[in-house]
Amino acid sequence: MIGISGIILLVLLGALCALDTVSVLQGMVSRPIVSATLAGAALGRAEDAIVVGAVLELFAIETMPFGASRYPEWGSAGVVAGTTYLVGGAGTAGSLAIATLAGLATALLGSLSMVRHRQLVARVAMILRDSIAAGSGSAVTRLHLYGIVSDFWRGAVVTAIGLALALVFAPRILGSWYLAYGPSAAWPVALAVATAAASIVRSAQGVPRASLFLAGGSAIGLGLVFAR
Amino acid sequence: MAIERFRIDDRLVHGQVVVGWGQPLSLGFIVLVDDVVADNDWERELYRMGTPPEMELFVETVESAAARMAEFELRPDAGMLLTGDIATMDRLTAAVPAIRTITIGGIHHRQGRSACLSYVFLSESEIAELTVIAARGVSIVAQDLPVSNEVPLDDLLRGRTG
Amino acid sequence: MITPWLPFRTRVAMLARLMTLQGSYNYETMIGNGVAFAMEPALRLLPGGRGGDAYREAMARQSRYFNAHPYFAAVAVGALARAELSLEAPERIERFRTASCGPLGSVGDRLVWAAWLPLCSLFALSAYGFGAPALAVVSLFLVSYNAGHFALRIWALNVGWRDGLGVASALAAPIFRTGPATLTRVAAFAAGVALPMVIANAVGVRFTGVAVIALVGGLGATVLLLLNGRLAGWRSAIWLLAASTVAAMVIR
Repeated sequence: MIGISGIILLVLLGALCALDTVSVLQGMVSRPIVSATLAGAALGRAEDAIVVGAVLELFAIETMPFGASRYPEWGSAGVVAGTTYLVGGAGTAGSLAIATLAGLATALLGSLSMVRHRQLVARVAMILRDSIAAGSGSAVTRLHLYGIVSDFWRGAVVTAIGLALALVFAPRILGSWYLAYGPSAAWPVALAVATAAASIVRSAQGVPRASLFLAGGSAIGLGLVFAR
Repeated sequence: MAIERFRIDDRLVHGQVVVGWGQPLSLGFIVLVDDVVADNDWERELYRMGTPPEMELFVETVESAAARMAEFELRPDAGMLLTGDIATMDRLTAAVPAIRTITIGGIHHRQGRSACLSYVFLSESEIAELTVIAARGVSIVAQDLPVSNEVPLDDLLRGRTG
Repeated sequence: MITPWLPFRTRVAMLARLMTLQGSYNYETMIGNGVAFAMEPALRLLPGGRGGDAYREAMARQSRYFNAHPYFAAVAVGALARAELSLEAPERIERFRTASCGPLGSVGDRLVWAAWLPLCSLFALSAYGFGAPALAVVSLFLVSYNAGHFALRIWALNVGWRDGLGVASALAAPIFRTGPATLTRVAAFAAGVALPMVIANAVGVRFTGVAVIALVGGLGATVLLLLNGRLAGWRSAIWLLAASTVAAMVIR
């Protein structure tokens, strides 16, 4: 059970990670392998939370933040997924599938909220248009700060919604989960591997000899697993 | 293979083109059609630097692109043709009737334009130009990346605000 | 034409502001307002100082639509700041602004989003697969990625300022031309190593289990590839996981 102070901490963490996605730094603190693990660390269980962080990271390899295109927001998503995985009893049947689903759904919600946020900033820019067109430095700064502060709150709201839904529904769903552990954990990982592999093969196709590097790496990876 | 896409994009050669479309379509060449760029050494150089070395870049005027179209269509690899505005694509489709579909990949905000999609802003005169192109039997859709939905011209104009 | 001087403190202020370049990102001016915000400390050096006619004209120009890769946009910020302080003709500045959007986006997207980021991500996933502690995995990822990230932003601002509107030649450096392909090869190798190890670690299975999951994943990847990028794997996974969740709750 996570107390109110824990939830506040997680919402703040989600907001900061979401802010890193576009508005401030883009130092990739928003990547799910980081944000999910940080959520786990906040709850004292980083080693468990990184499992779902790694699975979501495989999905994230596919997505690139191109210009005005729509892309998932992994910062808040990782925090929600990491928390869901721990609340669902990390390593139990269904926990990885539910945490991955919670993470992907939050990433989608984050993506939609980013579109709204950009429209909102455009509206404020419209209000300040005459001042900005007249070369006012303070109007430029005001718009910029407004964008950053509102993006922080956007991330906080997305994280809060994701956490609320996950904390309410994940235990109930897992309470009536009948599928065995093996397939329950294998399915989200297989989907993540499919997504990452397609993305890697696609980028390797355009580069001479990259497919050979991929094949060589795969042989070594499988060999290492076999030798374990 | 042939020119897979005829795209209007005011940024011309950029990430969505060389990575977003370049990877799934395995693009081998880009035809950039712009009279100003074709006539300007440093701009040609800038766009060449933005093009991956494994892709060939041809910078053409409307007239030279139209004259070389058959040559581009006979190439063994896939290509994309880019214009930076609707007026240039209008002239090109008039000169090359074989162009049957064009894609609006990005026309961004400027005074006098209003929003149709997050990446398409059009003025009244640009809508008129698109209508002229469509009247030639050319299908017009908006799509920034392969993963995005294709938006037909009618839907695009219905979504226009302001 | 005058040769401008950029004090170290101003350069640091511009660099700090560049870290928030996309703070006011919107669908109309994109990062245009962020470009003006990042360049503002330099524009205070124009004749008349902050609020003077030259300052206001330059701020108005620089806050218009602009879009490029957020790290490589620093090249434009440096180059445009130099052009403004050299009192270049406004038409020439406008033309450079328009023409640099695409190439600075293309070079950055290829090098950073399509090559450097996946490579660092796959290194981190390999470390996770090898059983490294969670915080070591995260540190490896953040330190390796940001070493490149910060170096790039600093280089970009400096080279933009140094070369001004003639900065195109700097983009001809081998790292930007052939670097993405080299990084893609290394990333492909890292992916090959990482994927089986991540499967083994995340699911807790041995060779046969890994082979089965890799086979299913390979089939899924083939479907995605055949669709030529028209279907996003992460979005499809939401529906597939939701459906399997319902099935897991209903089928005993």
